[in-house]
Amino acid sequence: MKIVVDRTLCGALGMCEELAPEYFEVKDDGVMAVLKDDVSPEDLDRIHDAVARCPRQALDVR
Amino acid sequence: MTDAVPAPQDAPTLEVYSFDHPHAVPARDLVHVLGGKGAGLAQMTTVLGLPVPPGFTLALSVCRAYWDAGWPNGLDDALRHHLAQLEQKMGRRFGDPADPLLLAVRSGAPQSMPGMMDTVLNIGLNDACVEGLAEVSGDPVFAWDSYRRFLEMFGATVMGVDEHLLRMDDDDRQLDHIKKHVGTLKERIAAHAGRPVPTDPFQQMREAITAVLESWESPRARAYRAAEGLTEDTGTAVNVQAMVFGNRGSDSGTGVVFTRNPLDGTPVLYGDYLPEAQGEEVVAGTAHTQPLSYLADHVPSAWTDLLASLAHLEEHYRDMCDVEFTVENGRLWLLQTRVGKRGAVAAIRCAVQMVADPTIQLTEEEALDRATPDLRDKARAEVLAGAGTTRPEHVKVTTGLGVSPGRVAGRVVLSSIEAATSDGQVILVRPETSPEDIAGMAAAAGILTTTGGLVSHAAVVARGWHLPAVVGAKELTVLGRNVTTAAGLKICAGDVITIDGATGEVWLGDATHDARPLSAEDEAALIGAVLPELLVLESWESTRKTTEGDEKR
Repeated sequence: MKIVVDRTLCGALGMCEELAPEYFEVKDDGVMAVLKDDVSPEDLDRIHDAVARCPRQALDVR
Repeated sequence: MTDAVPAPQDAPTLEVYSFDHPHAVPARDLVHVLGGKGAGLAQMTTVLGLPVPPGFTLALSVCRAYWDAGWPNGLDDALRHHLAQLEQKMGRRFGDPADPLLLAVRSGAPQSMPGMMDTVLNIGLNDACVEGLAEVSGDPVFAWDSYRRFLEMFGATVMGVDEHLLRMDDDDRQLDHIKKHVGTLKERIAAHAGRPVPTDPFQQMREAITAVLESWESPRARAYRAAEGLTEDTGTAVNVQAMVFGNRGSDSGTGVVFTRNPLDGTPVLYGDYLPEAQGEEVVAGTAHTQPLSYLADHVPSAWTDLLASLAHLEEHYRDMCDVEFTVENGRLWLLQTRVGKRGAVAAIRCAVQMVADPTIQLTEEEALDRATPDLRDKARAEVLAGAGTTRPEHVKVTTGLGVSPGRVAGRVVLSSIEAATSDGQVILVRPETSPEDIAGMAAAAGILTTTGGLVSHAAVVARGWHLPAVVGAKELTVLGRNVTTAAGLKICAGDVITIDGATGEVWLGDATHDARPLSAEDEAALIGAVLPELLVLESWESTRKTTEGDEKR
């Protein structure tokens, strides 16, 4: 499973980073970076949570 | 255009295009040439005619040439040529110590992937130029903090110094402190990279571009392409763009605007403007914003341009949009455009009104797809909740800025931990929110903050989650376990309050519903009066069902 970001929607609000800091990080320039996009099976629930919780619906995992 | 730097004659295959280059086909179809970001910037500039800060794109073919035979012949000349054009458009020179043009360099592969270098901002700053920036912005702290950010980004992404070594370890934003930190940064980067950060702006740009091109072959990027079955031979584009600043005097500023009101969907512009400020201050909600009419009154030319751009955007996206913009010395620049987030009532009203709108011409079918049954139910509930007349015993506490509609009552909690562990409906009351508040915000029925504006963290998250929210309730002060009003009223943790995220009103007690429930007829009448668009959608829906039924027969 891979994390996909729609850059036209992402507002770098940092909610995903709070839920899964090893996957997401809002950089100093206000751009959200995906640190690793390959989701380990044991993390999948948390990543799904981050996808669902994104206020701009910018994330997907597939 | 200046005669001093002629277009390079000897390198016809070197593809470097300014954002406004007249391509033969719409730029959005040139992702295979310009990369995703470059095609987007060119599309916004040429097809939409939007005032995007100017710049140029090194096409994918430049990356391929670089990997075939190193830094291409003639590329320096091409860069100088485009740089001269950029200076002309901006009226500033790169490396001018009196008033420096600054650049951002960003990667832009056709498909985004991990391992690629992302962004270096503030290219063109050095010990001399930082003084010029301080002078023209009248804000030395801003200038030196920009320099600090440049050194951190350049040191980490271009010169490969471990970014943990470059972090500022405290939040002290005193000028002397930042200056000292800038000195430390320069020493640390030189020590770890074996050479100092280049002071020549052209060299800075060249190295940032090289770092993007190099990152195409980084192990992570290669591994990603291998795993995804992506071809190795596309390469990445590099985008070089002028930076603009909203803090260059009284005819400068920054703001955000929605093409329609995101709370109720009425077709009036909705937003705010912060004179003499940079974008981050608006988002952080730390500064006091002005209504959009301030821009109309004080910088009328930028206002006229903004109206034209917004009209273009709605026509293009066929939807409500939101825009972040900066006015720099009277000139409008659009930094970010998106399809705007909206509440349920606004979603219903927009969908129906856009069917009648001659520039958008949504079909009834499209309107029904946008206004899903869930949204319709939510809108109905919001209208009914908002209609409950408040009784005399409901003491109004204050009116803040309604940023996410819905009226809701709950017990006051003053921390996210409390919100997450409380039973029953709670309203999270905070000076402001940050990502750390995610659990509390998720558990709360509504959010009330004492600072912030339309694009503050609390506002954006609440709109995204369809959670009622009032922000910027300046008359309230959160102190310990209490909230005090300007009038001296004290609200304690555990007290019940009501917030209305459309009007921004805050009451003591539960003001969410009328004592008597509405009859079905009264309910229909109320919807008809407040949100007739909902009834229109329902009639379209029943027509659609009938038609589908006919087709099946």
